[in-house]
Amino acid sequence: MDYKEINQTVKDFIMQINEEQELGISEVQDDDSLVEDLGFSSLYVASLVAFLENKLEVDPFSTNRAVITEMRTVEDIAKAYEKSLNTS
Amino acid sequence: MKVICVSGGSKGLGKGVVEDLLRHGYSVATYSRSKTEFIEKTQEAESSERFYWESIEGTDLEALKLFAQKVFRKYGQIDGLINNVGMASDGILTLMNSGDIDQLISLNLKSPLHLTQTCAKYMLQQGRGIIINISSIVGIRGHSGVAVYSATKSALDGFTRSLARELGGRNICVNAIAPGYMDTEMGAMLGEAKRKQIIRRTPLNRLGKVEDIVGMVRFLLSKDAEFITGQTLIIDGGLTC
Ligand SMILES: NC(=O)c1ccc[n+]([C@@H]2O[C@H](COP(=O)([O-])OP(=O)(O)OC[C@H]3O[C@@H](n4cnc5c(N)ncnc54)[C@H](OP(=O)(O)O)[C@@H]3O)[C@@H](O)[C@H]2O)c1
Repeated sequence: MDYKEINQTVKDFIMQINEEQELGISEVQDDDSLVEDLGFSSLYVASLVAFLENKLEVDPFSTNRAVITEMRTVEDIAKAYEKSLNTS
Repeated sequence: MKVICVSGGSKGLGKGVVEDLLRHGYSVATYSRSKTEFIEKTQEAESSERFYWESIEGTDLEALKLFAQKVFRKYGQIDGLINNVGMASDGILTLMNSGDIDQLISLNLKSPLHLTQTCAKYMLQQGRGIIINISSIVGIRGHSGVAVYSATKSALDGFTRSLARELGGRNICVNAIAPGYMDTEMGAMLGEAKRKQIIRRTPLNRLGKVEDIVGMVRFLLSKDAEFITGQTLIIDGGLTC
């Protein structure tokens, strides 16, 4: 999976949570902050990570390759998975 | 069709829960170490869409993770998890060897924690799920000779409450059921004198039966229970009241 597809997968699931939790997000941008711009709680971030782990079969945060608390934007998340996929 | 994972579904309470859920239209995935006659018969009677069983040592944490992964891939969903697996051991703490203490903690506590971790990831993704931990009244009241077992069951109750707070925001309910003494293989460990004593102290005058518990499991899985979370429900004929 290339970066563009990973990025889209991240955005699709953000929109899924948006619908389920009625967050009122109209569009997801690469530089949107998950917490400040999208209103994501830590539980929604955990849901996103669970979804991506299942979909992409890697968890960059379980191996200390990336630190979840340092992930601020949508792009940060997509890049962490890209890196993990390329090195796994 | 709703898909429920039940740990330790080959005999005792787990078997009762599996039978009851299959009868009520759920698909069930379960594991145990040995394949009992009940498992064999159920495999023959049910299609693989309705019933899945695997032989797993419950303290093998990697095997548990693979089990949950397999169930999710097979059915595409995990709607409920019943953490039923458990063992008891009888004896004064100071006379127990450290291997037995570790074994109890591994099976009664670490094993459900890890299975829950994997299943909860799928539930977070789904935005729904129900987790039921089978604890025990000895996690609530003191009983001599079961200190380590009590510790694991109290721990499960604490786990239930905090996890309910953690996951509630994604529509995942977490509850515990604390049975009193039941007439299962585990319950048979009670000596005759102790058995009589428990019955004497129980307002409803008997030991518990598997059937006393399975109805509560089904209720907690139902829509009627959708506003119940973080609770330990005691079913013991009044022994602890
Ligand atoms: N019986 C009581 O009086 C009582 C009271 C309160 C709470 N509880 C709780 O209720 C739950 C069920 O108890 P029960 O009385 O039904 O027990 P049980 O009759 O001994 O059944 C236990 C189940 O777990 C499986 N199991 C046990 N050790 C395992 C291991 N190491 N790896 C994988 N599977 C294992 C068993 O199958 P295999 O042996 O084939 O592996 C069986 O399917 C337990 O959590 C128990 O603590 C029981």
